[in-house]
Amino acid sequence: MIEWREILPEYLIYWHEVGIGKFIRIFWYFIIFELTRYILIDYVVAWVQFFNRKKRKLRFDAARNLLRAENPLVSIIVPGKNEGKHLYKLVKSLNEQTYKNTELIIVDDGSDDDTPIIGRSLEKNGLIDMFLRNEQRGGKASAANMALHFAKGSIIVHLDADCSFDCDAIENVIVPFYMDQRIGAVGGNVKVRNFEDGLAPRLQAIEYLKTVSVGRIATSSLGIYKIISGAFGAFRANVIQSIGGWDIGPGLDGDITVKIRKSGYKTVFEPSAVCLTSAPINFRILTKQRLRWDKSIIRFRVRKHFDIFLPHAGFNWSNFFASFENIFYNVILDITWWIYIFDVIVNYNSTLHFIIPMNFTLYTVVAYFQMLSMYIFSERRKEELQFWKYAPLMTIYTGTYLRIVRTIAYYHELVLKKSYDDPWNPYKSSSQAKKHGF
Amino acid sequence: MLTVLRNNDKGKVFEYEELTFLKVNSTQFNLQDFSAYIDAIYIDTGSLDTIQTVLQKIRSNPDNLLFLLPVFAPKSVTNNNHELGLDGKVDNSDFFMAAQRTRSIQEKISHIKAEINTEQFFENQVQIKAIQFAYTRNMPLTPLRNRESKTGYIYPFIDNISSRKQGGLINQLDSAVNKGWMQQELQDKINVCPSCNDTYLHFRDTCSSCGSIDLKYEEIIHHFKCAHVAPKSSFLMNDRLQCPKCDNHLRHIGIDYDKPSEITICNTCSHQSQETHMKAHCVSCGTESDVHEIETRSIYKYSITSLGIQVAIHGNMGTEQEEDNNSTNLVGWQLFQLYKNQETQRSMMLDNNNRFIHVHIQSDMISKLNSNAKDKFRVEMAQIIASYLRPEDIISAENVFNYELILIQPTDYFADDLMQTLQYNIEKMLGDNLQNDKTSVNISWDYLKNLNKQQTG
Ligand SMILES: [Zn+2]
Ligand SMILES: [Zn+2]
Ligand SMILES: [Zn+2]
Repeated sequence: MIEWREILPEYLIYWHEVGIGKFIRIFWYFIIFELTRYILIDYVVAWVQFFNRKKRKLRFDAARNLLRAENPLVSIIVPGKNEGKHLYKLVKSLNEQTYKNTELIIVDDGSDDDTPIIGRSLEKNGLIDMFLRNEQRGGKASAANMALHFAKGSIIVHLDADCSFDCDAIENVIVPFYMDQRIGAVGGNVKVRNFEDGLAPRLQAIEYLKTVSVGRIATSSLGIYKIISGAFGAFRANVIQSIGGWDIGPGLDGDITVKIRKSGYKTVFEPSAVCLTSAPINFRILTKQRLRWDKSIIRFRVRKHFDIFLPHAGFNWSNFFASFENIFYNVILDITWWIYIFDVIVNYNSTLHFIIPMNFTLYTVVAYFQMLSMYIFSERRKEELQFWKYAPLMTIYTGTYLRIVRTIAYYHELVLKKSYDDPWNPYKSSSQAKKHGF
Repeated sequence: MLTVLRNNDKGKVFEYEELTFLKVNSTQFNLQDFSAYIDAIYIDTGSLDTIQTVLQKIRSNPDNLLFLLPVFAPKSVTNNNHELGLDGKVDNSDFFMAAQRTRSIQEKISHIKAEINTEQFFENQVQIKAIQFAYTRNMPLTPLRNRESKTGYIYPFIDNISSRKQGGLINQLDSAVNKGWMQQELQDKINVCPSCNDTYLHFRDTCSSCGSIDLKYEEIIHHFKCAHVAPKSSFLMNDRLQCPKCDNHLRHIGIDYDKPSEITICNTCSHQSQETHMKAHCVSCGTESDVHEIETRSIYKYSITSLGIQVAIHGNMGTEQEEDNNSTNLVGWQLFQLYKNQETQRSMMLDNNNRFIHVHIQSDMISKLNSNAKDKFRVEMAQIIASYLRPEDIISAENVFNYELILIQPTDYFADDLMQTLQYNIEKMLGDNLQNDKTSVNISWDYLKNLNKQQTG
């Protein structure tokens, strides 16, 4: 017995000796929230998926055959500002697609660079079906709505210009429409392309795998999938037209998903529709991006779509849980985490030197469990093995850095309504949105 | 005052203030019959066609004593004498103005020693004729707006030279510009059909997909509040703008909504696009061309340069490149010697008062300059001398010390004054630049007609 005491660090011996009761008392936050969500739910879903995989594959293949037989026109719409430099690569990537019956509509939202020249020339050479340019910037939602107006397809695929796609990505993202008539929108699987560009992209790559891929498989199979990524999502044209397209952002990805769910349609995640995006390459840009995203949770979930929680004619439990899950795991857990930190500092001030390393150990172990679940879900598992060595850093990245950013965002939005001042939208739109409270 | 000298059925010759006019009223006359003694022609007819034909007959004549003749017509016939290439009009048989104009033109014509060489290429003849005309009329060749012309512009004199296509002749003016005989001044730019050179083009937008001209344009409206974007027609309800997405009224542009762009809808193929193709349809030949295929041409006014005046007077002495042709009075030494011999013969025959001037500079300092500096000095000196000359006079430099000038029929006053001016100014300039140097300037002169006597005798 003496031998392992000498090998193990002191803090582990400490936690071994204080007993399970005090352990749970001190690490309550981890045990109640993190363990349940990231270990239990993911693994339950993983097992369910694993047992259903053959059945699902059959359904998926049948739906794909239906899709190929019908071969509907798919309108690929790409709104954006100053995206000219990405357009040629995007067009090339789309030319490789297995699904061919597409039209490509690019909306240039008041670019002040060479985008109009590039776009017009691609249009002239038949590489873009429609290049629309607005001289005055109207914001991303208005640009997407303009494209939607001119789209002729029965399915709309919304892309970001700086993304590239697996050659079957377009086909796979629309197959789910042929699996279930009630599916109104499908989210694609967005991964980080530039993970080799530094620590920030690398940690985001892991985060995307974890929350965007695994997390969405889980929520999707639970029927509470709530964010169709703006980088890659597909919509039934009649559904998105009936809800009037996109509303003013930021955070229109989440907003449009909630609107579709509210109108009675399901939204699902399709892991096999893979799209690669460029993640912010440093923490400064990343912080700005996350502040914007996190503010939108308050603005849309809490403020604009709060009616989901209220009893009314269109009330729907899965919408309730989808929004609840979102608010709970972001806003409430964030607040709870600070309570937890406060609790520990006030009550266990003297044992912090044992608590901090233990916390770190717990999260690292969880991180590796998550890597394992990512490994199970991923279609690129071999390439992604290289992420494993970065797993310990995820504790600091998600556990501390993202939490602090989130807290700042919530404060800004809940107290100051800062998202309305975001230069992401032109002032003319923001001021209207603020005035009308959405 | 108005004396009819001779009458026949082809034309009447009459005199007015010592000038002899040939009066014609039809195209049936032989210019050669009168060429020896008439000063001007009066076309006594109200018919524009006749005037045009007579003018062409005169201006296309290769003999420069004939094609340069001043031509007048009755005032009643046209408001704009330039339009036809006339030299003026005669009001109620009052030839006073016509006589004045004739005298000034004839005076210039009398300077002209060069003869149009019919052996020369037609193109070259056109260039010489053009500068001689510009010189004698003391007027640039100006384009006039004219709907009948393919380019929308006519040059009356050029049009009368030949029935050949005008485009080609205008190119001759451009090569006269390249030779330094004329200078051009931009008047207009025209678009011409790439297949027939006509300027009667209709420009219109066409569908980028099917080429149809049946297009409809619609403004795009962006409703700020709900981010709805669609063509204006979908917002129109009972003559008001109402958002189809959120049912709100759009009241105030810039606050509720804006119009960020426009869309074109093809009524033929329903293609919708912001890109239309501007195409030009040629009314003459029907060719449909893309805008980038359309040629743009410049329309210039051409005026004669001093080199052009020399050529108009003395003829084109080949293509020898004038080395110092900043000033166009300045010609190369060899060319000058040719002129000198020619002019000497001519002056002897005509017994005129053309003068030959020799300027000799003596300076030890200058002789010590290197050849490069000497060259510079020579050009500078020649240019200074040239700046005192009239357009018709010429100067050449043999070397840094010797300069020769020919003055064409100068008045005694001008010639003497010129020599004094040169003496004073050259001495002053050399004195300023070459202090303490022994310099001298010797200027001698003689009538050109005496030059041969001196040489032989
Ligand atoms: Zn034509
Ligand atoms: Zn058309
Ligand atoms: Zn609206």
